[in-house]
This record gives sequence, structure tokens and C-alpha cells, in this order.
Amino acid sequence: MLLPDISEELQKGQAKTVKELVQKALDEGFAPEAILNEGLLAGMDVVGEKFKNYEIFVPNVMVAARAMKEGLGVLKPHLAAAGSASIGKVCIGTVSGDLHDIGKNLVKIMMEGKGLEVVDLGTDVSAETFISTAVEQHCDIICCSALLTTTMCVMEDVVKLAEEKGIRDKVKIMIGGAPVSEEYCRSIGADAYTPDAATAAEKAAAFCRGE
Amino acid sequence: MKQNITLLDGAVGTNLWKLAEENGAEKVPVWQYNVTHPEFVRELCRRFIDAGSRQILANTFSANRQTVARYKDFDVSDVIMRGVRIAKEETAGKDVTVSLSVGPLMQMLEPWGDMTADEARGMFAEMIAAGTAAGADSITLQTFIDLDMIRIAAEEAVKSGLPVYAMMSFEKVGRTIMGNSVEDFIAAMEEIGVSAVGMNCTLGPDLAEPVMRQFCGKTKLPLVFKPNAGKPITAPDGTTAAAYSAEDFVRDVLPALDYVDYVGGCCGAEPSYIKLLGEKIKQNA
Repeated sequence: MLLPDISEELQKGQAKTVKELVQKALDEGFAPEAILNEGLLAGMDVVGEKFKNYEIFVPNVMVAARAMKEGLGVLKPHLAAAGSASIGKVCIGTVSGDLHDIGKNLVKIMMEGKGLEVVDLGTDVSAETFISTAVEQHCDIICCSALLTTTMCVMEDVVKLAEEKGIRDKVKIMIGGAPVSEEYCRSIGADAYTPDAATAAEKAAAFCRGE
Repeated sequence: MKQNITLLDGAVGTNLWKLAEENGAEKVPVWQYNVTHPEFVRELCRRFIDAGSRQILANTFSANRQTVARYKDFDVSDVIMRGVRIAKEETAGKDVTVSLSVGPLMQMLEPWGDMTADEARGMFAEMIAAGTAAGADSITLQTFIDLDMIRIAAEEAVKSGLPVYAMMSFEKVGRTIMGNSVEDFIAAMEEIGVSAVGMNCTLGPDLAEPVMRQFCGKTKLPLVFKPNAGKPITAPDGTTAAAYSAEDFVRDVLPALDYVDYVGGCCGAEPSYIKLLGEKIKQNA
């Protein structure tokens, strides 16, 4: 019952307990991948689902993400040995910094909760910065967030620039934010639109698995 | 319909960007226009006044130290005072008041973010002092998602002695993204002594009205409602247009006119939307 316990405690945001349980599981000989998948990630999956359904809110997600980070801290050296510390790399940013960037931050938390490595570019991110980061840091996915119709156009620039720089077949481009839609995603040739943070993380993880 | 409904204005940010686009100016955080393109800000004030707004917002929403400091050559008090003065000049001699607009800070408060309550208080106090000095008639706190943060802003705002209108952004389930309920928000604002409570942004009027309705019977304070125009729709050619025409917007806001005291629009709501809303209010009065 140790791995389900890790999941349970993570959902409650009990960082200290999660850390202890992860260590205990390692001591008892559980495979690091099993601890990650059936303990930590399983817990974050529940958190993501509940958040999507408005059963829990941002503070719950944040404490769970902190617990995840603590647990992962204990687990990482063992995972690195097995070569599975990260399932993929994402760079994420808001294309305009005029309003708060909570949506982008939530996506980041959820993606980290899925075991993805996330490079946070912050707000006011230009198409050039998205692309140069993706090239230099070998990102699998570029995630763009926009808040207003007036800034959405940057997303199209990101897709075009990725083509120009010859990396379009190497990166998936995901978009989200209040004004963005499935139709818009198709019209600019991005790879995915997701309506909320939990779905964005699921989609990103699926892309990294080659789905 | 309720009597004596006060017509507010619509979106400041999206409309200023539209004006900038029409005039070939760069799209920057809109508070900068108070300094760089006051003519845009002035024009938008005029358009809302012409549309029938009885109270307009000064272009000061995110002009706090955290955001302003990211750009050199700007000063918070200067940006705010200019914003208020432009609006005051345009409303001079008319029966229209000017409200200082105060939005949430970029960072989250401790323990979720790194910002202390004192730091937040200092930033709100700075905005409010400048706005009051420049002659704002009231203060509008809007688009807040964290009850702890709007509490700090409201405490600072009531100290000015001006009327304070407090709005949070609720999700369709009637809670903010931080999980704060309508009830908790009302209780906190009543205790602080604001003049009106309500909601703005995030949702179009069809989804927002049922949430606004949750305020009914829970407070004696006047209610204020400023929903978004609606989510934009993308045409097959990639261009975007407002999902809600002015007619759709007004139709969906209409049920709220039975119980709100102040009504206007948020992101996407253009002066034409406000004008039509005003006509509807007059017809039904």
C-alpha cells in the first residue's frame, strides 16, 4: 500500500510525508519508476482531474506540486541512474505580459507534475525567444499562452518561425489561453489547443510518448 | 427591472489596443499610453461618455510598481495621475464620474508566491495615493482572483474615503480560481466597508449572469456587474471576431438588470455594446 499512500499524501499536499514515504519505498526496494508512476504521478493525475472539474482550486494544486517536487528530489538520483528523470522538455511563456500569467504558471505546475522538464520563459515572450530556446535547449514542445485577441498573433509567428528555422518537424507547438480555440489552432497550424492546464499537461505527456 | 441602474463603461485594455492598431502604434501594456499616446486614452474616454457611461475607469488597472518597474522611464505615480487627469478632463462639466482602476498584482502572495502582504499593501497604497491626489471620484478594484489580495487592496482603498467598488473574477462554478466563494468575498468586503460588490471579466455574460445571481439575497450592498463581451471566434481564414455581437451581449446581460445596481462590460466590450445596453435600460425603466 506504500505507493497508493504516496499518491494520497501527495494529493493532500503533505510534502514532508511524501518525502519520507518515497525514501521508505526506495529502502524497501520498490523500482524508482514505479514510485514515480504509481505514486507521485498517479497522485498528480488525480489532482489534475479534480482541478479540471472545479473540485479543488489553485492552492490545492500548488501544495500538491510542492509535495511532488519534494518527492522527486529524493527520487531523482535513482531515476537519473535509470535514465528516466524526465519524459520530455517543454519551454513555456505568455506572449504578452500585460495581465497576470496565472494560466501559464498553472500549466507549468501541471506539466512538472507529469514529469516533464519545463523551461519557464515568463511573460512578454517573443517568437524569436521561443524558437531560440527550443533550439538551444532541445525542447520537445513549445507552449504559448495568450490572454487577449490582440496578442494571439504572436502564436502564428512562432509556428512560422519554427518552419523558417527548420525545426518545425522537431517540436510540437501547443497553445492556450482565454481567446484561443481549436479553430484558431488549426488556422495557424499549431499542433494542439487545450482548454485547461490539466489537459495541456496530458497532451504534452502524450506528445512526448510519441502519441 | 431595477430602478436607477448606473451605466458603467466597457473594456479599457482591448479597446486601447484596438485604437493603437488603427493608428499604427505599437501594442504595449496599455498604461504606457497615458504617457506616450494620451490621445488614445482621451478618445476612449470620449467614446464611452458618448455611449452613455455615467462612470468611466481611468486607465490605471495594472500600473503598479511591479509591472511599471519592468520598463524604464516610467513612474507609477506619474502614470496613474496622468490616467486619472485625462479622464477627469474629458468628464469635466458632464454628469460622469471617474473611477481609479486597480487590478491584482502580477505575483502571488505568500505562501503561494514570494510577495508579502506588506509589499502588496505598499503597492496598492501607492496607486491609491496617486489616484486620489489626481482627483479620482471613486476606486474600482477588479479582476481579483485571490481574496487575500483584494482584502489588502480594499483596506487601503477605503482609507481614501472615496466610494470603493470591489469585483472578483469568478469561474462558472461560482468560485475564483483560488477557490474563494461569493459568500466569503461578500463577508470580507462588508467587514472592510466597501460601497459595492460584484464580478467582472473571465466569463461572457451568458455564463457570468448565473454566478452574479448568486450575490442576490446575500448582501445589502449594491451589486456591480461587468462581464466580458464573450470568447472570440476564429474564422476559417484565421481572423478573429467577437463571439458576441452587441445584441448578444445585451441579451445575455439583461436578466441581471433585475438585481444589479451598476452594469457595464469587461474585455471585448466596445463603446457600441455599452450604448446598446444603455438604450435597453432606458427602454425598460
